[in-house]
Amino acid sequence: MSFISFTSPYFTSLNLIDNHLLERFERAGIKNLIDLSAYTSLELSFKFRLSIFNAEEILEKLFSILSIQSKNVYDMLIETSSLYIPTTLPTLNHYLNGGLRRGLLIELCGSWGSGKTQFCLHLTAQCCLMGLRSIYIDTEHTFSSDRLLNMISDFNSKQEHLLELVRTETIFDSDSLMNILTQIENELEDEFKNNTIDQCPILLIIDSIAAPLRMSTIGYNRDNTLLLFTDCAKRLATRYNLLVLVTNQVTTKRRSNVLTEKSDEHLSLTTNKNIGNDFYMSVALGKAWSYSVNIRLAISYQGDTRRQLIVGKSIESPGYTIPFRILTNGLEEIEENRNINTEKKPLKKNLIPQLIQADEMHLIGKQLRP
Amino acid sequence: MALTRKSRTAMDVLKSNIEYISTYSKKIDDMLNGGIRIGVITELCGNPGSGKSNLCTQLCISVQMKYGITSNETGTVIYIDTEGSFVPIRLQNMAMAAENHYKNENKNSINTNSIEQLLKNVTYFRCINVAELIACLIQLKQIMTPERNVKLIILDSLAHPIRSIIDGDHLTRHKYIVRIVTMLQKLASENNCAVVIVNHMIAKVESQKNEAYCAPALGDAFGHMSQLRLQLSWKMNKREARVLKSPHIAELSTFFQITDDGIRDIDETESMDDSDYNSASQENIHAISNM
Repeated sequence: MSFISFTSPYFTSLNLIDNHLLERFERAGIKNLIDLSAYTSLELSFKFRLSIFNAEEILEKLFSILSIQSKNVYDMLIETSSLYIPTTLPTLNHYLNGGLRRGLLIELCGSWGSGKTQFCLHLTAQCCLMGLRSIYIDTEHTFSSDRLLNMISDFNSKQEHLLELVRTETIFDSDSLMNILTQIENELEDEFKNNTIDQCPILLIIDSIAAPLRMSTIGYNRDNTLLLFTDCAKRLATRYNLLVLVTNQVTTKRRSNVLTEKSDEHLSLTTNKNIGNDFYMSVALGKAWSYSVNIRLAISYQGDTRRQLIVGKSIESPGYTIPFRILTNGLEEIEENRNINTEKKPLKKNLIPQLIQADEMHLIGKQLRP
Repeated sequence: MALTRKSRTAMDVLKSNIEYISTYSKKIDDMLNGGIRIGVITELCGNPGSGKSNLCTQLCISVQMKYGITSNETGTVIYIDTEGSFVPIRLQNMAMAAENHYKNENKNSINTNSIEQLLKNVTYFRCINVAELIACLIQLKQIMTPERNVKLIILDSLAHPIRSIIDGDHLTRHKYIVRIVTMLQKLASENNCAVVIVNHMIAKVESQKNEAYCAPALGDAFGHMSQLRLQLSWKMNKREARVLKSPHIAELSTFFQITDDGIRDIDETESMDDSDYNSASQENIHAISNM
């Protein structure tokens, strides 16, 4: 809406203000509402020889097409309280107040072989078992229908027909990724209009986002593409109430001690506080991306089938680590002797070792056998 | 046209009742001489996951509680969300915790209607880009009537839509920032409400020494526009709130924690070393001190 050009037929058909004035705007370089946002009524009155009163009126009329629906939080709570996708890890469900919530952009990071694709498949399986549709965008060619079938089926019955609820797309570069996302958005818009909301997919998985970006773009272009992608993903999440899960890779970075806020006890590889140049594993795609995601999860490798799920950034829950296993029929939580009580209490000193900071998560990679 | 304006002496300003909104952490309130000030712009910056959105949600509750605001006149809230990080259930949890606290103090029973009312008093707007944000602010001028009694406007965050502008150099971004902040300043002083703007942190490189440090985003120009700049971060496994800029209070810092009930103080079970308390944090190397 905000990008529609002032001189397009759609806009002129709205007949908000004099079309001649719109053409003057266009000639001066103000092509759409985004460009107009930078001007105050005083500036407009100088530039286009209008009275200030006129300029204010014009601004109000033009911006009224973007009028935002306000809601109060009580109504929001009623609307969104039942829209969760429960995972098979009970502690995660407990701390996230029911499970992974729809309408959010969730990031899952981990080093290679840590189990990101398995987590995505298990979430797709949960979605299938609820009888709802999902979309799986595969960029690393790692989607496996067999694993999905294993996670859906019980030992008694096979539920192959549920596989039809999953739509898969295989993508190789960022252009086709944006194309498929625009296509999905158009289809969802149509479904919304035809009121077939219960047929709509509730889950969108992109496994992974780092791969197409690394392959096809360099430098500045990558930031732009990432911005476009984030915009699109957030729009899909909020407007169509999708749970958008994106997997990310890890890279090695050189640490300068000035940038991190952590103290010595957590730096497993360094010795001295003053040494500047050591390498650490960090989440790919940069800091601006870290602000865009709503929840950040990470998987760390603990040894053969054991993993740790780390909740990094989430407004609802503090940083917890949850150990789990990857088995044939899905993910299963490991019930160790835990000091954490099930009732929620303020964090005490003995729980602090498990608390982690959101912007620096040390993700342990697989140790290669000699 | 005569514009008469009554001038005030400094004594008038001192005696006028300045209202503050409590953050529910006594240490932070003491550091800020009462809390978040009404009528001016407060900036909240910090790295991802440092607690900015949580603090904003906590303020939504405290402005509606009788003891959460110094003048005891409660008000409603407008929450403008550009990142989608607002979670209604978190607000509900904090509301129930605050009501519980007062129930224990006053020995009254909890009114579930009052929790409903607490939630209904927070109006939520979701804006995706700058144009929608400005349209929203224009709309606000009309809906902020005296009956509505808005005492707090939260913009979470300003950095996200500005940084998402694809084809714009820093001059264009500066124009957008100025436009939005001026509108908010007008709303704050005309309607006597507090405005909290959430900002991001970026990494900067100091070219002379080739050192990198973290600084609030949106540039130096934005740095001048807020009255109070509060930075939230992690220090030694604890959450810290630090005052970066204020004309009224010193540049102090203090620790707090975020529990299921919201923002609270940490129980001081052990004393801290003086050296940790007073040392300047590594990333706040102000450019001025290097000149």
